[in-house]
Amino acid sequence: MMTDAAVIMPKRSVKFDGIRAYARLSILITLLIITLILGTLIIQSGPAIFAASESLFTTNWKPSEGVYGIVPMVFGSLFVMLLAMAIALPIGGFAALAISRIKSLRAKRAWRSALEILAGIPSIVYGLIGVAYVSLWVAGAFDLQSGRIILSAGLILSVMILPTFLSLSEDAISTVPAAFRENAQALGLHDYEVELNVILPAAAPAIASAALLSLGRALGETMAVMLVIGSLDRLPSPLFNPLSSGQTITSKLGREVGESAFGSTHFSVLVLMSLILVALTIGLTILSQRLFKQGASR
Amino acid sequence: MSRSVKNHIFSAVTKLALCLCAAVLGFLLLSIMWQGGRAISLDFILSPARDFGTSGGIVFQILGSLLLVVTAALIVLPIAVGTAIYRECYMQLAQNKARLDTVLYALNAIPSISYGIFGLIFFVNILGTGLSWFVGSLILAMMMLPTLTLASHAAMQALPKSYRENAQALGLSQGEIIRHVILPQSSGGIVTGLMISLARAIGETAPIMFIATAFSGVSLPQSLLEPVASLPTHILALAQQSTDPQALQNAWGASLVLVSFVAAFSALAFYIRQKFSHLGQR
Amino acid sequence: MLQNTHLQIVSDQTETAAISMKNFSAYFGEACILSDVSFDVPSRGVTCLIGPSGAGKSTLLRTLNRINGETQTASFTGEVDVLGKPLIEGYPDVTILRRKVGMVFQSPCVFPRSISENVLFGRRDKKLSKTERRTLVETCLKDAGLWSEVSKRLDKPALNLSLGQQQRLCIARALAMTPDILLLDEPTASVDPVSARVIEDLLTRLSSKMTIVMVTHNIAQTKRVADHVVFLCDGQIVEAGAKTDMFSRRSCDKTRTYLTEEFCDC
Repeated sequence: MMTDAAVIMPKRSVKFDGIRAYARLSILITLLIITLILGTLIIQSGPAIFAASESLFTTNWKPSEGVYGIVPMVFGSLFVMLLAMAIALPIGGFAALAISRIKSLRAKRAWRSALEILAGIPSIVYGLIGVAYVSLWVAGAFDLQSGRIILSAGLILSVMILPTFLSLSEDAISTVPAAFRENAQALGLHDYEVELNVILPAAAPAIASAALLSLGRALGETMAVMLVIGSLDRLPSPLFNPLSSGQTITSKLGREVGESAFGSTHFSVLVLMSLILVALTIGLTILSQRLFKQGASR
Repeated sequence: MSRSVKNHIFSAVTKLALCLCAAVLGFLLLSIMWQGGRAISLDFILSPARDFGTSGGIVFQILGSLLLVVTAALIVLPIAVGTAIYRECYMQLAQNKARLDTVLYALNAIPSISYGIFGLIFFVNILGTGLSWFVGSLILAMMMLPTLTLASHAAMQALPKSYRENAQALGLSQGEIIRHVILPQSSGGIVTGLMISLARAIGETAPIMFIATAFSGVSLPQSLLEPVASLPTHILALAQQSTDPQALQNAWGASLVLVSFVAAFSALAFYIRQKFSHLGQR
Repeated sequence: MLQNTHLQIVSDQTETAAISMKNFSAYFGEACILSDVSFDVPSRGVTCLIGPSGAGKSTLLRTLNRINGETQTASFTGEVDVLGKPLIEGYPDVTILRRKVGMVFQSPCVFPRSISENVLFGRRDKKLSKTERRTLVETCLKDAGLWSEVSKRLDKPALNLSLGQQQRLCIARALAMTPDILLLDEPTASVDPVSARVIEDLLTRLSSKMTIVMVTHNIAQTKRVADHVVFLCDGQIVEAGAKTDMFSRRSCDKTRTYLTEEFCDC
C-alpha cells in the first residue's frame, strides 16, 4: 500500500498541469496589458518633455507656434472636478442618510435598483442631455450667449457621479452595526444626533473612499464634459469663474488626438496629458481602496 | 435652537436631497424615453443611416456595436477567468494577491480616453492595423478585464471551502478540482460579471472613437480589419450637430436604443444572479 | 396546553407600578412573539425576566424603550403604561421616553471615543459647565463601579477597556441620563464572571434609587439579585411574583422545574 502510493503520487504531480499553464498565461497577459499601456504612454510622452519643456508649464496653447502650455487643461480638469464634487457630495450624503432611514425593504430595494440604472446610463447619453438641456438652461439662467461653459460641465458631471457616490455611501451607512444605532437611540438621542455623531463617523472611511473613487471618475470622464465645456484653451478670467468656457484634459484629448499627427510634438504633449490623468486616477483609486480596507478592518 | 427643531430641519434636508435625486432620475429617464420614443420606429431601427445620420436609421450602428462588444467578450472571457483561477488557486502569498488586486484596480481606474489613446498609438500606429473592428474589440476587452476578473474571482471565493476540501479528500488533483468543482460552481457569478461588463462596454465612446469606428458610409465590416459603425460614436457625431433638430432627434433615438441595450444586459445579469443564488441555496 | 394565566405580581408595596402591561401582544409579520401578556412592575427593586430562549423576553424589554418600532414588520396590541403614561400616546417624542427609560444591551457597545465622552454621550439637552461634567462623569462611573479602574485615563479611548469594563461603561452611560427605569438585556452574558458579580452588586445598590428590569438566563443570578421574577415561556407569562414566593414551594410545577433544573417543556 505505502509503496503504491509513493509510486503514484509523484507521477500525478509530474503530469503536465494544463490548467495551471493556462492560468499562468492569463495572468501574464493581464500584467502585460498594464505594462504595455503605462509603457506606451510614458515612452510616447517623452518627446514632449524634451521638445516643449519651456512652454509646457505655461498658460499658452498655440500648437502652430510650437507653444504647448498644459496649465489651462490641468486647471480646467481640477476646477470642473471640484464643482462636480461640491454639488454631488452634499446631495449624495444627505440622500444616502435618507435612504438608510427608509424602513420598508421594498422601497429601499427600489431605490437601489434605480441608482443602478442611473449609474448604467452611458456617458455619451449624459453628453446629449447636456447639449440638449443643461447648456440651454444654464445659458438662459445666466443670460449667456452660449451655455457651453465650465458650470454646465460641472453640473452634468455631478449628476454622473451622484449615483455611484450615493449607492456606495448608502452601503457604507447600512453596514454600520445596528448596535451602534440602538445604543445611541436608547440614550434618548434624536435621529439627527444619532446620525451625525454615531453613524457618519463610523461610516466615514468608506464614505471617504467612495468620494475618492467618484473623484477619479470625474477626472477621467470625457464625452459629456467634451460636449458642454466649450473648448477654450485659456484659463478662465477671473480664475474661478464657472461661467467661462474652458477645457479639461479629457475634453482636449477627445477633441485633438484624432487631428494631430502621430509622432509630432503636439501628439506627444497630448499623450503626456493623458499620462498625468492616468497617474492621478490610479493614485486616487488606490488611495480609495486603502481607505476602504482600513474602514473594513476597524 | 431646540434639539427637536434641529431634528426636523435635518430630516427635511435629507428628504429634500432624496427628492432632488428622484427628480434628476425621473427627468433623465423620462427625457430619454420621451425624446427617444418620438424618434424611434421600426424603420429607424432597420434602415441604414443617410446624410451623415440626419436621416435614415441606425441598423449598421446597432449591428456594429453588438459585433464590437461580443468580440470583446470572446477575447476577455478566457483571460479574465484564467487570471481569477490563478489568483484563487495558485497564488500563495497574500502579498502577491494584494499586488494583483492593485494592478486590477489600476486597470479599472485608467480613464477610457487613455485606453483609446493607447490603442491609437500601439495598434493603429506602431502595429499599423489601421481603424478596425478587431482593434476596437481588443481595447474594449482590456477595459472589461478588471471588472470581469474581479467578479469571477469573487464568485470563486464565495464557494464554500467544504466543496474544495471534499474534492481534495477524494484525491482529485488541483486541475481536476478547478475543472469539475470550481468552474461549474462559479459559472453563474462569471456570467453575471460578463453581462455587467458588457453593459458598460457597449456604452463606451472614448476608447473606440479613434481606433475602430468610421462615421459615415460604413455598412457591415467584411473582415476583422475593417472599421465598423457604432451607436455611441454615432450619437457623438449627431450631438455635435445639435443645432440641427433632425440630427438631434436621431441622436435621441439612438440613445434610447443604446440605453435599452445597457438595460437588457443589466437585467440579464440580475436574472442570472437571482437564478444562480437560488440554485446555491438548494 | 398552557392556559392563558393572567397573573399579577403580588406585591406588598403600595406604590404605583412603574410599568404596567395589560393584554399586550407583539407580532413580527405573521409570527406572534408575545401573546396577551399582563403584569405590573413595581417601583424600585430589581425585576428579572426569565425563561427559555425565544420566550419573548428581549422583545418585551425592547418594547419598553420602543426600539422595536424600528422594524417595519413589528406590530403591537394592548395597553402599556410607563411611569403612569401610555407608552405611545404619552410620549409623542420617543426621545423623552428613552431618556427616562435607560437600556443596556447584551453585548457592550461603546462608541469609538474617550471614556468620559462615552459617559456624556446622551447628555446634550443642557449646557453643562466643565465642573458639572466632571462631577457627572465621576458620579456615574462611581455608581457603575468603574471609577477606581478608569479615573486616571478618562480621556483614553473607551475601546481599550475590557469587555466587562465596557459593559459597566454602558451602564454608566445610561445612568448619566438619570433614568427612572433601567432596562438590561442579559447584561452579564458577554462578560467574565468577576465583572458579572461586580455588575450584580451595583444593580442591587442602584435598585434603591430606580426601577430595574433585567432579562437573564442565569437562575443563580436571579436568586442573587431579583426582588421580583416574571417567568415567560413561549410568548406567555407562566408565573410572576416576588422572588421569595417563586423560589419557595408556593410556585407552580413548571416554574419550579425551570428554576431547579433549568429545563422547560412548553
